[in-house]
Amino acid sequence: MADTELVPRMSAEDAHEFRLGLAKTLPVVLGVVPFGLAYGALAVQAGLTVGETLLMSLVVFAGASQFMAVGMFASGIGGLTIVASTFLINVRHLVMGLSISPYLSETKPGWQRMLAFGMVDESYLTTITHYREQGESQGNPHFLLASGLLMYGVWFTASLVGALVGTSISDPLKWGLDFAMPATFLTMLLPQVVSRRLLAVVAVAGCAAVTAFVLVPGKWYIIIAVVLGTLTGVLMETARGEKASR
Amino acid sequence: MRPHVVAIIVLMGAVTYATRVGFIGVARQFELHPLLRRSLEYVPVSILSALIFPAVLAPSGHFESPVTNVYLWSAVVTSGVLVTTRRPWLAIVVGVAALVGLRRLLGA
Repeated sequence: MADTELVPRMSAEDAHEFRLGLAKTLPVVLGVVPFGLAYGALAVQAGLTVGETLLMSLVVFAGASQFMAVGMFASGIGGLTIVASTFLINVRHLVMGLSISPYLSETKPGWQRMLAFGMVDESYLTTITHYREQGESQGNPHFLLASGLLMYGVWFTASLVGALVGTSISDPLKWGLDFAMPATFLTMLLPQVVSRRLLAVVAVAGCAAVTAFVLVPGKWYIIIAVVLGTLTGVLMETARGEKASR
Repeated sequence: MRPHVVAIIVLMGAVTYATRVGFIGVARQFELHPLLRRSLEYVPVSILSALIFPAVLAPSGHFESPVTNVYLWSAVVTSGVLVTTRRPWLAIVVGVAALVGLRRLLGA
């Protein structure tokens, strides 16, 4: 029955990791606030009720697809198209789940299923960066739990405020807080670029992403960047291995 | 709440959760092929790059002139502060402040 025990007593270590998860997610979550406000305001303007607007933040909890859905609702596009587009936008989560799975391989399935709900771009990146810094084979699930919970709470609250007072605040995306997210990611990325190979991965993934971002609609630019970035890393690693064994 | 809107939202939630839960347990169930494990090492860095580069170089959805792109200059400031002080928090705060300041300055 251990698998069904979702909230076991937290050890001191778990509590520490939980607090660390909150602290390290804080700067990114500040960057999420303007997007949540903008989503809430936009959804109500598009004709969704406040209840529907909040339900979407509670049940879907995925910024880009929520923005897209609101636009589609407004232009009267069918439900099936909205659901299918949501799936396509979120396909990238499969790659994220796969890449974090080795760190959670000793975590119970019940916990994995719970943590998966809170795995959004921001909590995934904060958590995996933390796990990699620690350099151990297993990551503490309480870190991801805290990160996901904080994201969820702030996303919901910002959506609520946006839906209620949305039209009376001037464009929240112009406050400058929209830069908090890329700035935080930048401070996570730079310390990881410790070799020429990783620099090449960053350059290839970054250039591929920005090109695809401008040319390809949706979130495909992330998948394209991951495929090309990963390929660059593995090929350079293999080339170096062959050189060394010669 | 209208029933058909609720139904669409619930289905959106279901497909989104499916993408999140789909592979999170893979390493518990299967031994990952060494090549796959090695590839996964580059995923976080690639995703970070994929989120930073477009946000900084094409903040409004298209390329902007690097000279007047306040996001690019703010990213340079953020990196500079991080490299010199090694304090992520300070770098983020100064970076955001730089963006606000540059916007005022350029009236953008």
